[in-house]
Amino acid sequence: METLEAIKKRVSVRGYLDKQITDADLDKVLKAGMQAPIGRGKYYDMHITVIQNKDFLEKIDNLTDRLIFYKAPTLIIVSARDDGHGLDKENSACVMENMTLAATDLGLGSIYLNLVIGLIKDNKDILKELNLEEGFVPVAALGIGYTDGEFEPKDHIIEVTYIK
Amino acid sequence: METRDVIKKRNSIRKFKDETINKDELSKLLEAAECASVGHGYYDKMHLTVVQNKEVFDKFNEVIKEDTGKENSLFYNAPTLIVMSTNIEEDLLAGQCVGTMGENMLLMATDLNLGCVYIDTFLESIKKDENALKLLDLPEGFRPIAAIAVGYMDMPSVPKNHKIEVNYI
Ligand SMILES: Cc1cc2nc3c(=O)[nH]c(=O)nc-3n(C[C@H](O)[C@H](O)[C@H](O)COP(=O)(O)O)c2cc1C
Ligand SMILES: Cc1cc2nc3c(=O)[nH]c(=O)nc-3n(C[C@H](O)[C@H](O)[C@H](O)COP(=O)(O)O)c2cc1C
Repeated sequence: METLEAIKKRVSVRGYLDKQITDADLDKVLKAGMQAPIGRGKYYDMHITVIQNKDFLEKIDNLTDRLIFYKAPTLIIVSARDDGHGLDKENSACVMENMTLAATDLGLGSIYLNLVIGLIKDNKDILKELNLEEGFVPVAALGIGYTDGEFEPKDHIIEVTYIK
Repeated sequence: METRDVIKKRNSIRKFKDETINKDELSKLLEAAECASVGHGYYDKMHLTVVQNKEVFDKFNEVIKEDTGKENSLFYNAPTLIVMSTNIEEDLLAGQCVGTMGENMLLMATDLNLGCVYIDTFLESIKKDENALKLLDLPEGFRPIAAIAVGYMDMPSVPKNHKIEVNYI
């Protein structure tokens, strides 16, 4: 798919089929994430966790009554170690945006998730199971899978000022 | 260009020709930014400032030099800067919403064969200087987080193969 088309087609998908994505697609999405720009080139301060284990996903789903990852069959968590410059959020978002665009390009549904991260950070058990290296903190999560239903891209508007 | 090729091709360009990108290229970059995911759909809490003014750039370079003692322009004298600002209070959300917009613009620029780089550092000096900050003419309550420097490349584009560690559960 052309870049502008993928960028325009990307939409938050909030309903997934109970069908796992292929390992080949997962690999393409992860590789796309790795090619993101990272402040000061500190790729070693980033970490990706792929969760596809049904029991573990259910445990996360049960953290609250609300749907927090819309039962996506794959949850990709991006964690980062802040080097004191506070770039961990922007870095994680660049990785996330690449992954969500790669998913769109592959015809998969995806969604950027923060709510689930807050809940995971508050739960010592689950955090421990992520087995992150010392100093790494989960920043963002991507739900990904086959779309259940139609999700139409929306037209968003951001205000622009020109200084010429 | 195919999305997957653009993602692989993107890399930071830090030397630009003097000529400014054209209107069509600029509008595609801004369109790409608007298509990014933004938490809670807070698009009205995001703001973009396109800077293409020599006097503003000169003032920025002067302020950067005073603050850091560095001669070289921390925005690489790019002929266009697109500054991303927000009035979202929580840094955690603010930074992420800027990052998604920024990456969309970088990919769009790469697709258009433009050179680009994501920059944060120069803003540290700008934010410290009230007069320099005023030149951005931001709406009340907004603060700049980062910028995209963009222009025609004056150095070769050399994509790198970056690796991030992954574990599977
Ligand atoms: C949040 C963030 C901040 C960055 N800040 C700067 C900066 O201030 N100056 C700069 O030259 N590059 C900056 N970069 C670019 C990175 O140094 C660059 O992406 C990284 O070294 C990888 O190289 P590549 O982009 O060529 O793949 C930044 C990137 C990100 C994501
Ligand atoms: C940092 C960030 C966090 C988000 N967290 C959530 C979330 O926890 N739950 C959710 O349903 N959507 C979440 N979203 C998705 C946004 O709500 C969505 O991108 C926005 O409403 C625009 O809709 P669109 O993505 O379909 O264009 C998040 C997006 C971003 C960038």
